[in-house]
Amino acid sequence: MKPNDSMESVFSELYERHIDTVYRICYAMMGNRQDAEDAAQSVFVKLMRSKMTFQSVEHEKAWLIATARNEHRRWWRKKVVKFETGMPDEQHADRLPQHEMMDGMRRLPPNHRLLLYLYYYEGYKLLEIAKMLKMNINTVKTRMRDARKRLKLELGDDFID
Amino acid sequence: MILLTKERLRAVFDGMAPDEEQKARMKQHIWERLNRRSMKGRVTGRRLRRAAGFAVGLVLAVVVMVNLPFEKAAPAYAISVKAGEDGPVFKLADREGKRDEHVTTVSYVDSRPGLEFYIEGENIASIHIKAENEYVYAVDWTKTQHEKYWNVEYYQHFDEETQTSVADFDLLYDKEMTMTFDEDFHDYDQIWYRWTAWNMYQWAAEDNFSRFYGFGYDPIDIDVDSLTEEEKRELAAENGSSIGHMNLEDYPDHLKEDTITITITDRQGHVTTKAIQVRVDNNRLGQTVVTARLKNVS
Repeated sequence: MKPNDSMESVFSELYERHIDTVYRICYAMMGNRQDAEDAAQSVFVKLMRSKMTFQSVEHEKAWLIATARNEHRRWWRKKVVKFETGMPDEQHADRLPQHEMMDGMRRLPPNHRLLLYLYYYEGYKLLEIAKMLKMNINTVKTRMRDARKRLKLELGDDFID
Repeated sequence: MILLTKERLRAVFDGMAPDEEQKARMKQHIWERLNRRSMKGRVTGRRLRRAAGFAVGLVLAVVVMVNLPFEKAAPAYAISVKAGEDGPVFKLADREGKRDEHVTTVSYVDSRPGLEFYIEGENIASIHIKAENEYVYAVDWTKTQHEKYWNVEYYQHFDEETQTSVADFDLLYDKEMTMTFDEDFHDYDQIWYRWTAWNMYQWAAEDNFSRFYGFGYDPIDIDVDSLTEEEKRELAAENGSSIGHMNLEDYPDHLKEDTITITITDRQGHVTTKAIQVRVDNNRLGQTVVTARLKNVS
């Protein structure tokens, strides 16, 4: 990145690099597109205005994840949860379980959904998650176990890890 | 029963990615917000220094989309009941309601009729919830209340013969329940309260699910020409099937309604009581519809 690049290109690079992750976290926690969009936008505005200095892309990403989580907390105090459920396409019957999965997911608290996302989708280790979210490692382990148990109960089957 | 695998879980998260239209829209809105606040100069210098601090290539995010072409906002699944500060605030949100608008009724299709609500606030000493006809229970993520609300093994056991988990909901559901909180407690919103039409379900499930469409009853024959535009859209989106829903034609009408009474007592002894009126009916498509509205009691 050249020092004389415009702010717009800097923003574009950051945005393209992280928007999918930030949006997914917001959607996983808030449950609907409208709120997820609003929250994701707020996270990026905060990023561009922040005084943070990042040592790496991973550091930058961790900051965004924690900020998205905090954004959800701010939003939760004001809003009623409205969770979207995807509807299956009749030509893709094998995807019907995704609808059930989404339904099971929405029965978990947002923080548990976030942990599942970070562990199973982003591939973070439990210790990394605890550090990123400033949580006690035992709390992370307990919530992960609870989330798996609850998902198992809601969907009526064992979780294959 | 769904086989719960890592791959399926990952696919759910894959499906949460924004599409290109959303990305473009969000990007534009962010840019407008940044420019509106005239932060250009301050941001540019800081950001450029940081960007120059480490060499990073542009990462292309490859998104595998789960094709859910008929995604739409579902009606609100929950009622938020807030107490404290300026007094209790009870609000519902439905599929038509805008944010921050208080409406008094929600209505949605649910083949397993139920309702979930949360109670937020501070300084709450106890919450008592009672249902007249059906049942209530809680999901307690704080693990401060009765064990059955936070330990699923309290009411379910593993059957070695069938190799399945079997739940005895009589150990979980009650007509009423009381939650009490000590002075250090603040996570009221981490306890979820649920109403479930358990009597109705058991009635419909008698004689091998004899009162469910697709089991004891054939699915409803739909006269498409008689449908409203909304119903046609539901049908086109594969939401119009009655299969799996209960046929409530022979169910006593007065039992299709229930009143959930919520009594909140704060630490000074002030009591607030609200009620949620719930009703379950079949719509023209044979689906069970839950309608809930708030009532003032005191």
